[in-house]
Amino acid sequence: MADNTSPMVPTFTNLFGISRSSLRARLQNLDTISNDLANVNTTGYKSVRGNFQELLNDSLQNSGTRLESTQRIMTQGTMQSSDSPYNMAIQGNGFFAVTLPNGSTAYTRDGTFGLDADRKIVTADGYPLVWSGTQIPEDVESFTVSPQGLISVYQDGEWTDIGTMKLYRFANPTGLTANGKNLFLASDASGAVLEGDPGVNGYGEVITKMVEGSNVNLAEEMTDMVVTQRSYQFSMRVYQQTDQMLGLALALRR
Amino acid sequence: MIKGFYTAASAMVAGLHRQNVLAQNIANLDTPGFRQILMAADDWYVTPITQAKDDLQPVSGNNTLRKLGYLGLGMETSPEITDFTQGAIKATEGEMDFAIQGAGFFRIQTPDGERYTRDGSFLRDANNQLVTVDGFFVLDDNGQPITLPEGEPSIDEAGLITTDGQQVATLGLAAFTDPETELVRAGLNTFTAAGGITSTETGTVQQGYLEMSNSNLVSLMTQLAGSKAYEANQRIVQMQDEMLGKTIGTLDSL
Repeated sequence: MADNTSPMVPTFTNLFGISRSSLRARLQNLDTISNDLANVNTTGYKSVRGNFQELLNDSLQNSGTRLESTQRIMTQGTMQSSDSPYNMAIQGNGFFAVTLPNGSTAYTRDGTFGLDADRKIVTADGYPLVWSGTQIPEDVESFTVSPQGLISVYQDGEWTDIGTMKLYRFANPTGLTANGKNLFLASDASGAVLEGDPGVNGYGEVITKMVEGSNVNLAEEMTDMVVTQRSYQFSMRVYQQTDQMLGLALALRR
Repeated sequence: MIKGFYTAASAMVAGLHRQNVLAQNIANLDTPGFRQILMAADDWYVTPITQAKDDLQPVSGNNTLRKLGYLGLGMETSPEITDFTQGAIKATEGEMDFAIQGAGFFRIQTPDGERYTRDGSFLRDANNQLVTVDGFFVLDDNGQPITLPEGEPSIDEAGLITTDGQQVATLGLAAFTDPETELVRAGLNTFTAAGGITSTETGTVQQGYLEMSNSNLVSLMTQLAGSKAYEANQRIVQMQDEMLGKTIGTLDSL
């Protein structure tokens, strides 16, 4: 007979449990794929990958598979040119820092900044960018940021430096907590925030009149979607078949 | 007649076991580094059958019984075997995704001791250490955790990790002369080996790739169709039951 200590104890409960874990993991993976597809045109969006893992357990219902974690893929998105001088993109590693209404700091790759009524540099949602100054002087004719983060304005026929901006990095950017609206928060998994000047020590450069598009690869996501749907279908077949087998076993004695 | 009853019933038990393995293999179709489970069926006990007939050739030394052959008393499933053949390699372009081409395993440190895995989806954690998606340390060739310096790591085929031209560590790879008997499936895409590493034929490491499940899709589909055998055995059990019922009924009315 089969070894009794084997984790794969053949019972109907275990069998249904395996198929159920598979169906659930596939649905969760489909959620991450849907979210990626929905954000194929979201500036600064970083795609998410689901990591599957095999489960093996003596407690009968816990074998099968699970979606252990979702992992953000931090590759560079495509650069798209923009007319606004307040739009910026990061070429390389790092994040912009913005201040949330509650005073805490969030990090983003979405550089679609603009000026608000108080002449502050703000995100599309109105969160101010963290830089050495606060407001842009009135009556500026032009605005630019150097790749090294030096912020200058053109006023009365000359360029004036009004401040600098820093970029922010994490040991494990894939571990940042997503906060919606393209914002990320530091977490235990990401490690403490590191601050640095753009363009040096591995920090990316700031490029104005550019925004970083989504890094979602449409063809890859579509392929993943098809594979996930097929795996779901396959596990559903096993589930149905197990149901039939249970029916047959029960019908042994009418 | 009772013999046949248990024969068919044992086939139903084995059918359930087979379905269990099938469900596990299908659930992990998208699990990186998953090694499919193979199962073989064995004849269980056999018993000689004899016939007492005067007009047949007697077996030498026995004038009353003639040996007709052997009757199988059922089937059992032999212990599960893990198939360690190479799985499909998928390009991910992730700088922390590694695949092994060949027979080796990555060495990882878990709270329960050293484990071996073919799942190379690693991460840099908050403390700059190379970890699995579960946060377990990936070990170097001396069995020590790997700390990555700043910068993007690159890795050569032998597993040597360098960042910005500086050698960091060599990925620890393990291999086994007979993985089927030395390795025990431990869940979470890992294996344990009581006897430790027994071979140096580790193969080569590739960065930016993940090895997927080595389940054979066509074979899984065929097995799914093969579950009809369960139904056939159920019919046999029922028929044996009916025959037994009829016999008892007939004897009763005599």
